[in-house]
Parts: sequence; structure tokens; C-alpha cells
Amino acid sequence: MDLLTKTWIIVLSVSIIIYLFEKIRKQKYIVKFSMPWFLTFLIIIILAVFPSLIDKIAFVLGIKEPTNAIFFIAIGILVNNIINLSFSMSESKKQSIRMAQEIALLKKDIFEMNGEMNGEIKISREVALIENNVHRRER
Amino acid sequence: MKKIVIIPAYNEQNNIINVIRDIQTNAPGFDYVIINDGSTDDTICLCIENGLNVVNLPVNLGIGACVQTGYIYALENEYDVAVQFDGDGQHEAKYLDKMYDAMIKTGSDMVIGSRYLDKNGFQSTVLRRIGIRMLSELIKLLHKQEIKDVTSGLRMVNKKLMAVFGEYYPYDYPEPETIAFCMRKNFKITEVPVTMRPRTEGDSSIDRIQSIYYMLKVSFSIIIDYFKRL
Repeated sequence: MDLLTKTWIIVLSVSIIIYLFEKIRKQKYIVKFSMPWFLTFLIIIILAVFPSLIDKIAFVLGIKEPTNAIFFIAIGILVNNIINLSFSMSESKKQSIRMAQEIALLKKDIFEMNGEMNGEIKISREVALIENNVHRRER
Repeated sequence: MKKIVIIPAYNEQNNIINVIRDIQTNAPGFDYVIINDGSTDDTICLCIENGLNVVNLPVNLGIGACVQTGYIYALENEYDVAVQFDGDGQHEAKYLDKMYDAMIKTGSDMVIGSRYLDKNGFQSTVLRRIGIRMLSELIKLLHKQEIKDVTSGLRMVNKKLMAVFGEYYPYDYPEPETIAFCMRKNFKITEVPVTMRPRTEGDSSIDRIQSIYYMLKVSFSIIIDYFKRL
């Protein structure tokens, strides 16, 4: 690996790490989700600094071409990160469904209480109509 | 015994009033609750204008989570029996009492209204019947009990199952998986013959292109469910 390539890889990786770091610092990114990517770019930097490691890894994995070993590792890491993402997505989906259900039921209770107090369900009607329009706009 | 009909509704402005009228006329012993699953048409306006009992989900959650909301509502309001009943006019309320009688007589936890026991009324398309048959065979193979109409959305459950469904209910295309799930947990399921009407308005939640994927997904979830017993 020539020096230029090496420099490029390291500069790119470091800037991505800094970018992610900034996102976390500004509280737009949760540490939990950033860890796999930090580790990914850390590995890339290590491999760029010590390219001989790649040959060793290729030998251990029984892959003839070190380049192929890199592809193999890269795809492995990406698949791992993406699968973890879809785990988190399922978790969030479950949570948001629960919350939507709770909100809907709570709202019904509140409207009914209001209705009993005021002898009318006008508020509920207006709010529901507004929501209905929001749904339509989102489509 | 407090009994309630749970009606999941997504864009059912043309059917919902008739469905409620059907229940009020032909099954007067049952209360009802409509779960509006973020409809984009006038479903919610109609419900409110006509003073119908409706729970309005703030976003579209899909059929499974929508029905589950109904079960949670039924639990919170201390109902003893809950029936799932489509909002599109396919199901007929006159069978509800019959299903309830069957539930009491057989001591079942779940009673399913089945199109294929007497083979009367709307039977669905050939392709869909083949699919339903395959799912039925798969469930029979795994759980040693045959349910003919595994995709029927007309099903009555007792309080015990309501509580279970409040905790866990499959999210998409939940009907067959729910049956497998209940068999695995040793709940007693009975089928009762009913007739269904062809849907007059609106589309089925499953279109042709999706149906192969539907079969795969549902078979897969039934098999996964089987391994949850381990």
C-alpha cells in the first residue's frame, strides 16, 4: 500500500469519526448506535497503519488474495452493523406501537371525562377532525 | 357476562355505519368499539358525527396492533368476552350469539367463525382457498388440530385469552399465527360454521402480488412460533 492511499484512508476515516463525534456532542446521535461505526473506522485505521495485518488475516482465513480478505471483513462488519440496526428498529417499532395504543386509549378516557363534565363531546370531535386532516396530509 | 365486538377499521367510510347497525340489530347483547387505525378517509368523522364508540389511533399501526388495542380496551373495561369483527361488512352479526353459545357449551377459549365448515356463502377465490388450505395443513401438522378457516377475522375469545393478546399479538397478517400460538399455549379453539359476504367496498388487506409473500411470511411465523415451545 503506497503512502498516498494510506493517507487518504486515514484522513477519511478520521474525518468520519470526527463527524460522528460532533453529532453525538450536539445530541443528535445516540452513543449506543454510534459504537459499531466507531469500531468499524477504528479497524480501518489500524489496518491502514499496519497493512501487514491484512496478509496475516488472509492467511488465517485461508484466503489467497489479501484484497479479498479485506472485502470479506468489510462485508462482514457491514452486515453485522445493519442487522443490529434492524434489531433496534424492531425494538422502536414495538415501543411506538405500545405508545400509540396507550395514547389512543388515554385520549378516549380524557374526552369521555371532559364530555361528562361539560355535557358535550365537541372538543373530542374537533381534535379528531384535525388529526384526520393530518393523516391526509401525510399521505 | 359483558360482551364486546372489536371492529378494526381502516378507510371504511362506506361500511362502518352498516356494520354497527347490523350489530345493534342482530346482536343486541353485545357492546362494540371501533378502532380507527389512522384512516385517511371520513371514517373518524362519521363515527363521531353518529356518536359511535370509537378509539382513534394517532397513527396507522396495521391490523395486528389495531386489534390488540381493542383487546386492551376490552380488558380495561372489564369485558368477559370479546369478538373481533371486520369493519368492511364481510361478517354478519347474526352469528355472534351462535358463537357465544358454542363458546359456553364447549368451554372454548376461542371460537372462530368459519366459511369452510358448511361451505355456504362467499368462499373467496380459488387461489386464496388453496393458500388457506396450505396454512391449515401446516398448523395441523405442527399442532395436531385442524382449523379449516385459519384466516377468518371473525373470532371470539374469553377473558383469559384477551389478557394474553393484550401482552402479545402478532403485528402483520396475524390470524393464522394467532391460532398456532393459542394451540401451543394449550388454549381450546373451536370452529363454528358461518357465512360471509363478499366485500362490497374497499380492498382486502392482501393484494395478488403480495399473496405469495404473505404465504411465506405467515408460514415462517407459524414455524417460528412452533419453536418458541422449546
